Amino acid sequence: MSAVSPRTARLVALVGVPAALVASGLLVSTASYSAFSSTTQNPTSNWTAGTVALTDDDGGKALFTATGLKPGSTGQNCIAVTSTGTLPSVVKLYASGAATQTNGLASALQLTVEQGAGGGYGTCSGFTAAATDATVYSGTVAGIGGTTTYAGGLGTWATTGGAAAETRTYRFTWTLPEGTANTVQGGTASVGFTWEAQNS
Amino acid sequence: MQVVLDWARVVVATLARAVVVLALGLAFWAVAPAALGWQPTTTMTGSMEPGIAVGDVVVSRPVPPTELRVGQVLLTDDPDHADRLRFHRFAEAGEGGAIVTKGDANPDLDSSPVAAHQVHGVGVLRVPFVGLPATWAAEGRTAPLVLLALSGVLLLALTTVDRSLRHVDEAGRGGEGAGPRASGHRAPASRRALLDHRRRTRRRHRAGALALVVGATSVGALLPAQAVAAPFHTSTATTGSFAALQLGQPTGLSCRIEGKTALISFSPTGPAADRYRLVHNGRTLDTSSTTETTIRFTPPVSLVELASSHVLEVQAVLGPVGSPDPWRATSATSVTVVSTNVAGLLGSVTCRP
Repeated sequence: MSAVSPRTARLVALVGVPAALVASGLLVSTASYSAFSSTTQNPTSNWTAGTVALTDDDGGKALFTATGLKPGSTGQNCIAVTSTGTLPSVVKLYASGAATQTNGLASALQLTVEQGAGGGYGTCSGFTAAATDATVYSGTVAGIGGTTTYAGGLGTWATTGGAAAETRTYRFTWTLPEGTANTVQGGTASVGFTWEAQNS
Repeated sequence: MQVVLDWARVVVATLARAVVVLALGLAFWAVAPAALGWQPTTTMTGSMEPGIAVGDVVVSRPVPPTELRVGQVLLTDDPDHADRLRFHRFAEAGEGGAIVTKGDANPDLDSSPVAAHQVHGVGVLRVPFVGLPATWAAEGRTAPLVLLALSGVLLLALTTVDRSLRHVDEAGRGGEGAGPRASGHRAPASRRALLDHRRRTRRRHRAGALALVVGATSVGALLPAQAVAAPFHTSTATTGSFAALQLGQPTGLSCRIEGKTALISFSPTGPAADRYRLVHNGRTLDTSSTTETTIRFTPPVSLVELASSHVLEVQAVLGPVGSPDPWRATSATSVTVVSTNVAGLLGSVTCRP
């Protein structure tokens, strides 16, 4: 091996810089090509960046299928929503769409949604409301049907992410008030509820 | 041995310089397009993986709304968060020209579509890694930031390890084992000149280092401050349905007389009512309220008429006595009770079919 002459040292130094510049351009163009050239991408399952995941315990069944309502009727059901994502997220509740109704039943039905812990789908025994901001919604069924976007969503549940699953129970209580007008008789109403988690 | 060491110094310094230049080059690609009005943004989440990873800076080029196509990756306002941006793929056209987007790694379409005027641009450049410090800062992770800063300092230091080899003549130290001097390099004329030369060289290096630091800092400051949302999201849903009862109309009305009282019988239908009452000429007779299926009716005495006929219907009622608007269902048929009045007294009461 011959000794390092100053000229060789300078030459090597000079070559290194443009080579690195070219490499940066190549890196950017290849990365851009792979990101933007194809119109679809197959999602991978091993995200390094973490995930947001949300499930509920209704097993695909409806929260309510209440029939034979008359003035003074009331009912209750709970649903446990579990976040298993690794990223911190904010979970909000909103209506899947506007409430559908006949005879104005959805406008007459009162609905209260509380958040807390304990209980689950099918039984609210063991449910304890959260110490703060327990009431997520209080109003008519038609009213919650007006909240159909995440931006306007209800509730303040910030999950911390990480390895442990976090669960929150929502208690839905509906009441058809005494004195509900005769015109509501025979009416029907339906509404969907969506919980959406977005990483915060 | 010395030769090997010298070569190692040259290689290490060259590699260190290459890494620094590579980093600056990437930063250049991330920042320079802003001069063209293109918008660089840092990807904060992996919702577009595997195409776009956390820490990538993506540069979006503004395009007219008519040139938006399904499949493009769009930088848009995030309708779900007032101060955030969304960098997701145009998945399908929504109602009223809305754009429905989806993160490649998200299982579902984004729940909120965006309008064409909310689109900032179409992604054209992806600069990997450059935004990583920004994501670390946003997540408050100081350890990798400190590590990065330390390795930056180390790299800058490594770039100088071959300095004495490159400037061997000017430094006047004579290359240890450097062999024959390269021709054309004059030896320093005097000790004074040598000192001057050293000072100048040192100043030049200091200026170079300063320029590097200033450049890196300004690049860092110019780097997209906007944290791009490519929001991960997922949802779960349930439904609720309600049906109010419908009272049945009483049927099978019949009438019989017991003394001066008409007994009206009927058959209830449908859900159980709280009580039943008579309706006469559209007026309800709450006084006739009963839970039985037979209602007693004693016609009132009329002072002016000799005979009065009462057309009676039976109404099923849900709700307490006296409530103004109870739920109710009235029979479709009626019975007629005829009474005669004699000198202000009730004469006879008969049922008329």
